[in-house]
Amino acid sequence: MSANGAVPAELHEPMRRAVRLEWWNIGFTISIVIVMGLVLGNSQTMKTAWVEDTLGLIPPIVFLVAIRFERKGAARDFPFGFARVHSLAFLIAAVALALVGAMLLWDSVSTLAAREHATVASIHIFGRDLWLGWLMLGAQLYSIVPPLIIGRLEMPLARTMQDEVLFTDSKMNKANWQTGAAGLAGVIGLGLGWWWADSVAAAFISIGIIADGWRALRIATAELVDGVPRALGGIGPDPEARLLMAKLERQYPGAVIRLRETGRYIHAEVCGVDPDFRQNLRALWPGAPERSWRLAQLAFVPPHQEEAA
Amino acid sequence: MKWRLALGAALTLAGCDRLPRDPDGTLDRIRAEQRFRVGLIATGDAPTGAELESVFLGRVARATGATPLLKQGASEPLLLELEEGGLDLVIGPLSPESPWVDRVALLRPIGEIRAPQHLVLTPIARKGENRWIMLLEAEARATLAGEGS
Repeated sequence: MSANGAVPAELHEPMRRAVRLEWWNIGFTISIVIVMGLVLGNSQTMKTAWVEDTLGLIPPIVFLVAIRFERKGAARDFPFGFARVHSLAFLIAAVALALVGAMLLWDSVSTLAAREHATVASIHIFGRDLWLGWLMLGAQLYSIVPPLIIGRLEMPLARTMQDEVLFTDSKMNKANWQTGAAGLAGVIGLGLGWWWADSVAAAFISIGIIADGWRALRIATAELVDGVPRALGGIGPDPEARLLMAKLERQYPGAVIRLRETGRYIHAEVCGVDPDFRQNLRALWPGAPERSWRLAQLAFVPPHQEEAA
Repeated sequence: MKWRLALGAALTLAGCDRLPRDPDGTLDRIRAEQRFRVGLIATGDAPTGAELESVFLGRVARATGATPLLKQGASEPLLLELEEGGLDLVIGPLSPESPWVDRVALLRPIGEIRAPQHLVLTPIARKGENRWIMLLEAEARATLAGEGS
């Protein structure tokens, strides 16, 4: 993000690829939602897994919307650009995710407590009675494959672009096989006559949804309240930011260095020294040169300013 | 190559027949005891109703090798007994708005009575006895299609 809030040149290509990948992601997710929806039946496991698959649409949509804003650059009323739309959208999505997860957990626990036995009937196709459970298993298997592949493709792009939304989406997609495995176990257990298997698997899946929401919530909050730059997908400090901090501290002894993150970019403030004109932000970046775009702004707060104010 | 494919398909189909099982083993018990307990919800004196029921029960009896033990009554006590496991099957009209719809498993109808009032005859089973339900559904389908005995 340069002074006018435009997207740096290094990011054009990965961003284009990520946008295309997310459209594929949305397409496949919709196909999964349809296939799973067709064979839902009365199974709590299937219902929960289906809701989780539907929720899987949120991160790619958030990503596409946020990128669209980010590409607009700064505007008169938004002089710092829209890099933070990511975090805002992400916060909303995280809250939704956690709430839906909690609701589903309540649903499956109360089904379990009521000792409710799920009825999964049969359908008549090709002149044969087929237990609907077999179709459920087929749908579950299908629902595992695309996320696994897409999740792997997203990971390197998320690292290159330092993109939290993409990274979280990738993690969620990679973790989807656990949902799939729980779903398969639930339906097979149901078939074996273990009435509790269905609700137990559903509870397991909903805990996964809550965990996704909780993680996203923490990451989005840290950024929105101007915490120090965090490592991608984590809550620990960003190693590149730590290097930058050390370099600025060496360069401006006695100054207080403050770093914050807006979206993928880092803003640095050097407080308590006179402004040092003529800065080359790219040269200042201590990490790999191809990632020097991350330092978007360096601001100086002169001494005595605070007392004078 | 072909025979391998055929073998694979046969094994899969054989596996398909093993699931589902009944949580309370209804079908196994019926086969072992050679009887199943049926509650018939009273529908008045409509002869078509009795005829449909006997065609359906005849089919189920043949499929399981068991004899139906019949019992007539009002819907409420019969459904309560079904839910508690005292009956294996109830046949009769049940309104889709009835609170029982969530407590028992309504299967596909075996037919309808037009006079004196319009009623849909539905087999009703305990929830989750999926193997037994599958068998009942197959026979209900055949009864509805008119593949009577």
